[in-house]
Amino acid sequence: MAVKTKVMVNLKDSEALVKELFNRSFSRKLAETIITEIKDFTSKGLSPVEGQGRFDAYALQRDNDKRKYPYPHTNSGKNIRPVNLRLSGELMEALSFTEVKDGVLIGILPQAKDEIKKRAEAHNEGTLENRNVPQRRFIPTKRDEKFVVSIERKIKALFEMQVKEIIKKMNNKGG
Amino acid sequence: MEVKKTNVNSKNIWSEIEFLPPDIEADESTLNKIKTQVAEYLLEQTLLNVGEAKSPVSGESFPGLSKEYKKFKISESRPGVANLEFTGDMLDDLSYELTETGVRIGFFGTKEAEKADGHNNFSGQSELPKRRFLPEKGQNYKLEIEKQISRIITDNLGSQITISDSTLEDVGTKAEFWEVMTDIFPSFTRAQIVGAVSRSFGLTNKLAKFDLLKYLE
Repeated sequence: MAVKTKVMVNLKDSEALVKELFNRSFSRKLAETIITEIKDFTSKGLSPVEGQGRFDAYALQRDNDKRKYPYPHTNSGKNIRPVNLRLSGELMEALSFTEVKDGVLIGILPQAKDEIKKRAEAHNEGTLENRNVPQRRFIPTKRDEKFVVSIERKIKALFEMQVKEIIKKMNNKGG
Repeated sequence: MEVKKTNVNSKNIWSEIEFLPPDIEADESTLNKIKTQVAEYLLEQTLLNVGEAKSPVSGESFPGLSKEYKKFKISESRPGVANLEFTGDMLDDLSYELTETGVRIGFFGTKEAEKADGHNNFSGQSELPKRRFLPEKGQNYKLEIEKQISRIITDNLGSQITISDSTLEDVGTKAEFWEVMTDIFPSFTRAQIVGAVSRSFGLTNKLAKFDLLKYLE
């Protein structure tokens, strides 16, 4: 199953000029910024999802058992800390986006490999019972779930830049 | 923004940061929202900076690991950098409390406070290289962090304001626009008004509806 979040804006009552805010180039910039932030946060063992905090330890540490994950990958450079959801890098590289009518869809999308989608779901939802994988949310998928404050601030900063760009264009056209 | 005081003992180490303006006009819910967002932001920025072996405190930097400790860390499958993470227990316990005028950020009722003081040396007794991630009295967070905190305050104050259509429908000139806006946002500078509106979908839409966005500069 794909693991994705929709970053959307309510365009009801918007005038045409405001619709210009959410053009293709802006949507792309927004999505790329969010993906960069997700990668930055997870690389440091932090969830980019509000209310989640730092990721739980890997099984080796959690269960105090040297034979558990990330062993035997520790022999080829995989670190026990930080908990960064990265082994081959495939999961993070699969993060992508697509534009939809009222925003962008960001995450591990339906076109990703099945194995990657399963891994993404295991991390985002947790499968402690079946595979001893604690929940480590890296994409907000639940209703009203948000990104952390730092990412929300980056989104706001992008909107601010875009609005100022629109105003500049308006005033240049007007002379 | 000011680090008002700090505290350190065996189970606690924290910095108390005051950032709410004394004359702030906001309801309880908005004040709590501001404080919580700032606290969460400071926590995130602290962990992000530390994760890169950097300090979030202005003027501070993390000395590198000693050769021996770096070798040891790598042998234990940890990165050989001063990211203050071996078991992860200390950073897991980094937390905050809300105060009347701001937040306290640090460690509360946990044995990890001793480890944290080892790095921050509020007690003056640590023999470890100083790797400060909590600001002392008189210190500041990095400029960009403090800038964002100002914006969090401004944006939340702005969001509690409702602008009626009747307020805007008769505005015809730039001068009239700014007269109305400074009335609506009495405690904001013009730059703060521009920022708060540009970062708000609702306010931007509202101004665009009356073709007033062009005056927002």
